[in-house]
Amino acid sequence: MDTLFALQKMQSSPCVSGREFSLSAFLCAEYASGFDEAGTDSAGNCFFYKKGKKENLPTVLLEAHMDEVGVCVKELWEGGFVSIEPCGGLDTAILPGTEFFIFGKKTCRAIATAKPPHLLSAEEQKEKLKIENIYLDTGFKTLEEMKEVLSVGDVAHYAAEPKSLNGGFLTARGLDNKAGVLAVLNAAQKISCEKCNLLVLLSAGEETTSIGVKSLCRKRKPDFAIVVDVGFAYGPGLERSKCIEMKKGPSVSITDTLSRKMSNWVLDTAKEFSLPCQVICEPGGTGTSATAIQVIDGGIPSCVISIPLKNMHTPSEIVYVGDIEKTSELLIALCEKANFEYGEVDFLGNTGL
Amino acid sequence: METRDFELLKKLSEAFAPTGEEEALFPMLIEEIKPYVTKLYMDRMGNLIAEKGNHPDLLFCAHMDEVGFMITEICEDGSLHFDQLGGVDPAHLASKRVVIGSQKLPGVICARPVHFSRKEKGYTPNSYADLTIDIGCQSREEAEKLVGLGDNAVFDTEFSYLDACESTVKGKALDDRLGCFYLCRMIRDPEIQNVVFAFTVQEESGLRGAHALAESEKFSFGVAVDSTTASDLPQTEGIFRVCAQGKGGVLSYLDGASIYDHDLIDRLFQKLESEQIPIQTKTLCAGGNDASSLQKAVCGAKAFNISTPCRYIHGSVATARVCDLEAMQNALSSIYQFLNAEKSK
Repeated sequence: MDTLFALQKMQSSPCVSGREFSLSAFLCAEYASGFDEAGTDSAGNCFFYKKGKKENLPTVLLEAHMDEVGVCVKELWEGGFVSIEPCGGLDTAILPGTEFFIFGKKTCRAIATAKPPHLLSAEEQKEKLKIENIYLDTGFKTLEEMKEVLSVGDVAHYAAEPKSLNGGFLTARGLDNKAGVLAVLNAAQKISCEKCNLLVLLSAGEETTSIGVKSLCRKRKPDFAIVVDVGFAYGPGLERSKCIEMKKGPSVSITDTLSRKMSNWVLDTAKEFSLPCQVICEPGGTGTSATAIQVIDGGIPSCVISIPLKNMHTPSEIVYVGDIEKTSELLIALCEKANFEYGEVDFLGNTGL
Repeated sequence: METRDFELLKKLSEAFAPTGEEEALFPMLIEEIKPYVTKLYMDRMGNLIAEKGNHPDLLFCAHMDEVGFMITEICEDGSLHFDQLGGVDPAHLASKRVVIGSQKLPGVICARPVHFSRKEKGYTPNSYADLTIDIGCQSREEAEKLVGLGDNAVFDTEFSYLDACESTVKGKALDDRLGCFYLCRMIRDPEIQNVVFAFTVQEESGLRGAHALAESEKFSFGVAVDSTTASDLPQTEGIFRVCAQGKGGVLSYLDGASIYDHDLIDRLFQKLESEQIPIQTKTLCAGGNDASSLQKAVCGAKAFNISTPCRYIHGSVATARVCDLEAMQNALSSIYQFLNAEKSK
């Protein structure tokens, strides 16, 4: 399926972090063919399982979170304004003038607004805009009219349609992490399962609590985990060491908080299959689902594969479609090998640990 | 200190095992403890777990990892940008020696000389962005032959006695190779049976090894053996001294990550004091240790922490008093007896 078309279909279901149910139901129905099991759960996850072609194969988890950043309605005001609380990390500086969809009893349009710069005092101009000083303007004339449709706790996300850019680039809201979801789904359909059982998890709540991976991994206990997310693409004003580059394929993270051995395995496999794989060093952690997965139940060795992305957490994130495709190819290669040694090691040579 | 113990501690202190890359300690620990254990394995997290006896219910853990650095960029001019692994204050890093990778490639941390400090703007301490590691290379190509992105570094510090009377030792990574050292000696001790000993990973990255361990092992009592900050320095008064060297191990009632069972700690103090084993508590509640993760065990364990009072931990060189090491070892034996009695209650 064409990437833009697949993305447009996915984005017709809202999935602000913590409210993923409609997207998880959509994905479960849309992509179930070819799997032995497809389901959703109470955390908001969507998962698929394909049994391996032999007995006693390791279970590999391919994970990408499906939720995206957004806001939650905190209070309704006269004049059609609502105040908001972030769901996930938003840059308040970009909000004024940004359009939103609020998912109330009906879907409402809204525009984020704040005191105009002309009216700010010299002191205020120095400070970063606070979320308390930002409102969504819904255009309702009265509070009563607004209350018919909206209530406290409704969520909203950016109103921004996916669009193709020149040269194979794509812009959209929520490419963090629909780009990962697309890469995982494309790969999963092609993985033969000769060497592994495949568990695919499109997880809920990564931007806020990681509730999705914590609950599902405890239940299904995969042997090792490949987490697919997005990474910061290099651009003006950024530190080279904290970024990867667009059009050079995905990256693998090297970090103290995950399995280094597994990161090396990813690099070796990429080399073997002549696939591009950049390296990003993240001392202190990766800020992805893998942080939570790695320490579950005696350890589930985990690695992070990232797709380069610009303008993260904004209405106009940018990815290079070729990078998503290269990510899928790497995921296929990893699962077709699935030769990562993940188990416990016995130093006394006893059996039956 | 007996030569055998000194040599063991020296080997442990000088080993290259920054958080997230602890493998170098495995052969040393395995060689030391293998003859005394009934089970010895690495779990999927990378923790080294040794059991004495059958179905032990007590757990003692110490973390293998130390603070260090990761190479995050190899620059055009052959210098290396890096960032911290665990918490290391960048303000005092300029001119410190490091070694990179298990091959121990030597390097020096560089910053702009004090002569060029921006006087007009007042003093600003160095941050990681101001620092580079110099390995003597003049170009990226040359440097790339020796180091790779993501390679780790640790301080290059020799372990030795500090004073001629051999009353104090100095070295890097005393946090928490001292803990590993005590555990090795406990494993050797024939009096101590039916215990799980865990050498954990990634403590400095957020108590992560112990977290994974606590989700899979079953135990009723967990003791995290660690090192803590002694700030008994000139011109430091009152609670800011935290704890003092020469006064034995440190048992805390609470710290930055846990609140412990007040009654249990009280009774431990009574027992240790009745046996004339030096013991103290600390007066500032900062930081956390593996006990916090052990407390969250799926089986619902009681966990607490005992630490060696060390000066200058998380820096390039820390110190510990030999008498405190002995006091800690004795306290641990006593705690073992105490918990055994507690279990059968």
